[in-house]
Amino acid sequence: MFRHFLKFAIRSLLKNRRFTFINIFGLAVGMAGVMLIMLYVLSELSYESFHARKDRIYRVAVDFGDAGSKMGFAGAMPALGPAAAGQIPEVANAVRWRRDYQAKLEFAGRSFVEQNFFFVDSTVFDVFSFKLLDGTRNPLKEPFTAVISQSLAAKYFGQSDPIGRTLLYDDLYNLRITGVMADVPVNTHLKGDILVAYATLIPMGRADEGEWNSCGKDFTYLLLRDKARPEVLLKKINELLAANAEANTVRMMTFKLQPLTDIHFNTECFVDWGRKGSLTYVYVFSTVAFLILLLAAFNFINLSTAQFQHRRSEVSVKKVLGAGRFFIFTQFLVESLFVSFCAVTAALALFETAYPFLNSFLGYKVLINPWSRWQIITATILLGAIVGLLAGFFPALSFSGFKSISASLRGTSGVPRKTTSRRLLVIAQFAVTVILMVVTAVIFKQLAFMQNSNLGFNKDNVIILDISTSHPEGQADYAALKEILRQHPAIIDLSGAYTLPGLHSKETWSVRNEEASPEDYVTVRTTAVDVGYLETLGLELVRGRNFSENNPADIRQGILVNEAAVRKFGLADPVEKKLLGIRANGQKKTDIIGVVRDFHVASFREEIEPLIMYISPDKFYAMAIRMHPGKTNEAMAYIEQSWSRVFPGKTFEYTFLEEIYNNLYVSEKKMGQLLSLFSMLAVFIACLGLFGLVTFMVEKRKKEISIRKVLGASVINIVFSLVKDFTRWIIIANLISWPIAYLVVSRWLQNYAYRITPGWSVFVLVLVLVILLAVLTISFQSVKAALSNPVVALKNE
Amino acid sequence: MIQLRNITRYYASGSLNTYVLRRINLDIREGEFVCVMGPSGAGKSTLLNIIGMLDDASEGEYHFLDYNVHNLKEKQRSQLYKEYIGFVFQSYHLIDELTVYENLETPLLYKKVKSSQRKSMVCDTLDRFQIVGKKDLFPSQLSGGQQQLVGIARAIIAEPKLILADEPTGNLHSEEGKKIMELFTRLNEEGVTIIQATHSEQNASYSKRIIYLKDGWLVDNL
Repeated sequence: MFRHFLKFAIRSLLKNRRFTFINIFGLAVGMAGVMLIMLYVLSELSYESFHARKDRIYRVAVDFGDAGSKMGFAGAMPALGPAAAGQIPEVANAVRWRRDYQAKLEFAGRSFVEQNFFFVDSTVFDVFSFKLLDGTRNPLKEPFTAVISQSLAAKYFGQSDPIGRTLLYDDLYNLRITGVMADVPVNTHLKGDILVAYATLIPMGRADEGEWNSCGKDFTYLLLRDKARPEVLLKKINELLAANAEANTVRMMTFKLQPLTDIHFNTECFVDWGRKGSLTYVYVFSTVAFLILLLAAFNFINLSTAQFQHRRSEVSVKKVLGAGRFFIFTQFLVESLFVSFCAVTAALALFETAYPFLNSFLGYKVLINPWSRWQIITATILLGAIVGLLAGFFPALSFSGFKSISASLRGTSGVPRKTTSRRLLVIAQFAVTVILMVVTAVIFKQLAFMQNSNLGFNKDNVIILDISTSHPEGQADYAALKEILRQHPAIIDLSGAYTLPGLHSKETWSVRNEEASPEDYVTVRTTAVDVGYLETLGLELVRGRNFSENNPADIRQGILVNEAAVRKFGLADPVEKKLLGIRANGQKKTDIIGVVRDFHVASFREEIEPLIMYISPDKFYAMAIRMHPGKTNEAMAYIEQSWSRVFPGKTFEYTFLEEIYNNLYVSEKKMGQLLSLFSMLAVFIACLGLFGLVTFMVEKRKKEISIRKVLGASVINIVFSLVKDFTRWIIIANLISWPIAYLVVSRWLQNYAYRITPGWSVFVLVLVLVILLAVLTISFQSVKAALSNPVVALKNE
Repeated sequence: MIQLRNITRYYASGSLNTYVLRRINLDIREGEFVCVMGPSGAGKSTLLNIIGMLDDASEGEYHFLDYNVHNLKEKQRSQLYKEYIGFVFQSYHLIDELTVYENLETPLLYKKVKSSQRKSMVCDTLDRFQIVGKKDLFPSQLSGGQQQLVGIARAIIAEPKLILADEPTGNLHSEEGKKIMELFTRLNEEGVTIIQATHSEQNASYSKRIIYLKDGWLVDNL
């Protein structure tokens, strides 16, 4: 019996190939989209979840700065960890993590620079759930011991056993491998490839044990005892700070506790490890997924039931032949379930195909552990079953009970005249679509605005090299490289800097106006620069003068400020005034020599902050080089050549300023792209729904259309009479969704200090686009109907 | 076998009732071959539908074998027609998605006939109608006459006592129509009661009894 149903289903689906295809495809694409979003959302929410004690682990972050200008640091000071573990009963254990972003490791003549290199306390394996595979008990107890991940072991030691071997660190220190751990999952911000005993820092002279007055270096994680209350702990660590640190430190610093599982979404700290997630995006995309699912499911039901309307006479014949309620009912259910399972299968295939693209699109690996994969697959199959049952249920119910067999056998329909619910469905679909389209359009408009606005600096033709002048050798190398590079005509100017626009590093000082009261310190953004900074970045000097190599006083104590700083410090006539507080390179940087036009150091999300630039050649972490436009190839070749002269054996790596700055908008761009993808999906699905409805309507009006034609109506007349009706609904859908879309985009634009106004144009554009698409969809069916031979339709009466 | 007493059928249209059948009294015995004739709109199809229990009479009594059809519930009624009646339609109404074989099999499927028995019944019928060679074709691959042949085969496969044929040759040319009529005659000789509605005098000539309808009235009962 079941075979009979299935056979019948397959044949009748094949008979309406086109319809079947779009129905299956619509649902499949919708489901696959939803699965991908689910994967993304589950992956975002899974951060740190593999740590068994995750609910009891907190990170101690620091708010630092003068009142009103606080900044968040994710790291505390070296002294805090041991003190908290030793003196506060609520703390069961503490782990400090200190990172070396550029650790050079060498084994048997092969060396690599490792980014995921951490000094950690030996308690790390008691607090976190990293899986130790091999090695000694308590592997990080001794100085100069290290635990490495499996893939790092393979990278350096190949197949051979790494335990007991040594890696040369920074050309000086031998690290003995005492353990191998499983590769750390991607869903954590503590992604260590090599963990080195914290005790190693002591003989290296870099431990700073007992240091209470600086922060940022050591990320400190506390494991609370069972039932210990974090508020109490917070109070106690702040008391600890008050008892140990200098008064000034106590004034400027406050601790706060961040639950481990919140860290992925927490953006309070301006330097943090790992990729940051966005709860906003998680919510936005969950909503989008839900909407698309709704669209796709209702669409499927709408299309299927419309399709079933053509089956009245078939059902009648079957009834006459003796089919009971049960048979008719089962047949429709089997048929729609079959279609929905085809869609599920197609969706799974699409999902598997699209999944790698999602990874490369997002730029990081979305976690797909077997568990979440099965969750998603099971959910999709269940969903397919529900959608299939619903799609089959309504027609099955109406057909199995319908009485007027004789009427439908003769072709005059007992078809219900009402289409209100279908109409509402289509309006709802288009309303959702319009919202998505408006939001997408506004995101792109804001992106274009951010990328095309005047930034106050010129980001073209500037390349950036990673350097460091914190050691005397670094300073000598910098000077040598600078000297060589300046000789080439294709290079306009260059400058070392602490930070550059688009870079995340941020230096601050507490500064006050010389004329203000001694308590009036303000924390401001500063950066160490070289003489050529303005020229290199293309900054505009609005008052005063630039640094000059011929003026030793400028180099010694001169500072340049931006207009925001002038406003902040209330300087009516800034040049020759003094700002107190900055000390660098053994000198006090106080004298304002010039004012620079405001420029965007950070993204458009942030207001342009006060900024002070001073010269300090021992604090450069980047070198920016402006090249002559049109001679960049020549310049690049020369730079590379000079690099290998100054740093023989060190690989030449560079980035472009433009690239770095544009990277600030990566998430916006991705969100825009993803949303445009999903709004296209929504448009597609909505058009499918419309298509189904038009097919249905045209079918019902076949006789009317034929009679009109016989009476002399032209094709245009007929198409217009159909289009008119639908266009009205689409306009209604637009009117419904505009206020909602406006609210959504206004909320989103609040994130930006510099933003566009959405404007009428976006809404009108979307309206026109949607109408155009809808008319196209409608015309397809209605032209066919209008062109059909009226005799055929009328003869069946 | 069939007794109609004062059967009336009307449709409410506005405040007026449109009468399609008016006080029909008719007796049909088992084994008869009856032809219902009359101009368009005379009520031929409605009468057949009522006899076939696809439609209800508005008034009057209908006795079929030992059953009072007018008193039966929907479910019992459909049970009844499934058991005893086969239908043949002007536009054949074969199921397009099924082959000839499967079309014949369908009524048996609904009657829950066992698979092996089903198979032999279908084969017998194919044989009897000489359409064995066409058993795997779909209706769209057959001519009108062949389709109607299948339609009749399907109507009789479950061995009904009564066949109701509404303009069975309406869509066929005269040669094909003749064959169908000869088939009906043969079936009738085998004992099946046949009632057909038709316009065609020639078709009527095959039947043993002719009933004329006009404007819903039974005007002549030969």
